[in-house]
Amino acid sequence: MTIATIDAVPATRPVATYDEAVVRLFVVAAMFWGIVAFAAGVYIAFQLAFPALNLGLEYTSFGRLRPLHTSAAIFAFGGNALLGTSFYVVQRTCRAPLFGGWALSRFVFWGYQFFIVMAALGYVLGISQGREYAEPEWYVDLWLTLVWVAYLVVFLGTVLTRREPHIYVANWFYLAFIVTIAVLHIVNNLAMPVSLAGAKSYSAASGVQDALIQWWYGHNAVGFFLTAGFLGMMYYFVPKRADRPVYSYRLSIIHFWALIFLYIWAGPHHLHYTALPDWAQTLGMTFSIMLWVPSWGGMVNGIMTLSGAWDKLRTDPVLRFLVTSVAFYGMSTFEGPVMSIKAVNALSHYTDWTIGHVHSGALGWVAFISFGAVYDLVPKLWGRKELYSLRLVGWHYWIATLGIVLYITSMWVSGIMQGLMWRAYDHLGFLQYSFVETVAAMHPFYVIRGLGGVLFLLGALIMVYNLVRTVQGHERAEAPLARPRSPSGRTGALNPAE
Amino acid sequence: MIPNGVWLLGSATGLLALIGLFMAAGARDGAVYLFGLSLFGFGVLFIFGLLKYGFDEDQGGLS
Repeated sequence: MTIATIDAVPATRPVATYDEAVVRLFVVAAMFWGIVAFAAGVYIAFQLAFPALNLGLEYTSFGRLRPLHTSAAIFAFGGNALLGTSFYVVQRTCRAPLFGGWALSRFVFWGYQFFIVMAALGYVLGISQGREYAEPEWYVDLWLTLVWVAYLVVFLGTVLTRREPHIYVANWFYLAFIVTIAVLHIVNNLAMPVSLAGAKSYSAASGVQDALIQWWYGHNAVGFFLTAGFLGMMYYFVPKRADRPVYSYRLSIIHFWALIFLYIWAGPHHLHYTALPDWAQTLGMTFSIMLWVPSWGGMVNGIMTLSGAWDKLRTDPVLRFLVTSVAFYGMSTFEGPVMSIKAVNALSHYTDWTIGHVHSGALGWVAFISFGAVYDLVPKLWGRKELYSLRLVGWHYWIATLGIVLYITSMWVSGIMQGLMWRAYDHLGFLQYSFVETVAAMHPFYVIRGLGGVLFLLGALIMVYNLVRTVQGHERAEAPLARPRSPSGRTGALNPAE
Repeated sequence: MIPNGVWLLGSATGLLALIGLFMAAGARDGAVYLFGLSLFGFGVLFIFGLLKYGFDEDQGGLS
């Protein structure tokens, strides 16, 4: 392997080495699990349109493959991207090698993959706690706790042994992600196994308290796994790729503290119109709406980091991925609070609108920022000058974007139609539609959603091909993506706003 | 020279592998049996990995 030397450190200090091998492992794992997650998503999307694809087997039924898809996307693809980039970012911004040496970081890597495989086997075999995004049973939960503590030790140890006086803001976001996920995971999975020799366990809480704990966990899995962690990624890779400083470092600090204070209260909005006390529902809604402010502050900070470098969007599709992801972050963090308003939630809850919302965040924000980061990292990690083909990155970008558009628009239409059909009643007060009529009405949109997923998967396969060729050391001879600027700065197209 | 932390991590992983064996031996269902055996397999393979990394480091750097 190659070891990057911290050559910028003054000569009086001992030269340390970065552990890039473990980052490479995480990058490979993220791409592998990404393809698994997207393929599983496409398959179950078509199962909803064509139920015969369940194949009549319990192992391939929607109920078992759906958590496989969500966990593969969130914890396997997203998790590996987060762990890998956090190890990369913390070493560079702290100018220190990973704490605990190569053995502990390898334990984190292989231990995390072991967790993913055990969780996936559990889903397929039908072993589940029945808690969304926290399906694995107690023994897998204990294992993840162990691995996560090791991860915290490596990350926090690196921050504490840093050679930089300042802790860069990306590390604050990564640390919030690590610490909060640990707390959420432990509390939500407090359970009593029936026997230490058996898989089944019962939750420590019951009734509405149990539901509240689950959705406190569930929403903060979104807030701290899918938001705070990836914001850490944004605050490193967007400025790096644009070659510009963060637009406002002060805003990034306000973004951080406001986000982590507000997010933790928003979970009850998942339990509107349930047995949860009304005041708690309203509290969840209120904090969700307040989240508009830090979310959009962060989005503005990310996008405005391109000030003076907007022209790079024409020539650098990797930067396009990164910036579009921030735009999707803005869109989904606008939509989420809207959906948390009780009057809106009365229509949207339990419908496909929620699925569309989740995927605008998961595909547009989480996947796109990860794609951008991985495209940026791979040539550096494998010592290549540039990616095999920037044009293929451009193709990936447009195909994936089209896929997202098909996905989320079809789910918006389908979900709003579904909600309206459920609540429609005739002049005698009878429900106007039977449940199966709503299912039949959604069929075309399920097909469109599936096609959107196919496009997104196709884009990811293009990415894998591009990355494999890059690692092999190939470089495609191709024309640049945009004409170089003339001395006057004009290219024939409109000048970028700078 | 192998750092002390590696010995510690190797010992802890060995202990986990042993726990895995006990879990598999006393399992009342297929899930715990599978997990126990897999944990044992993980522990053994990880310790072999530590040995490999240790030798690589002795020979002049990580591989």
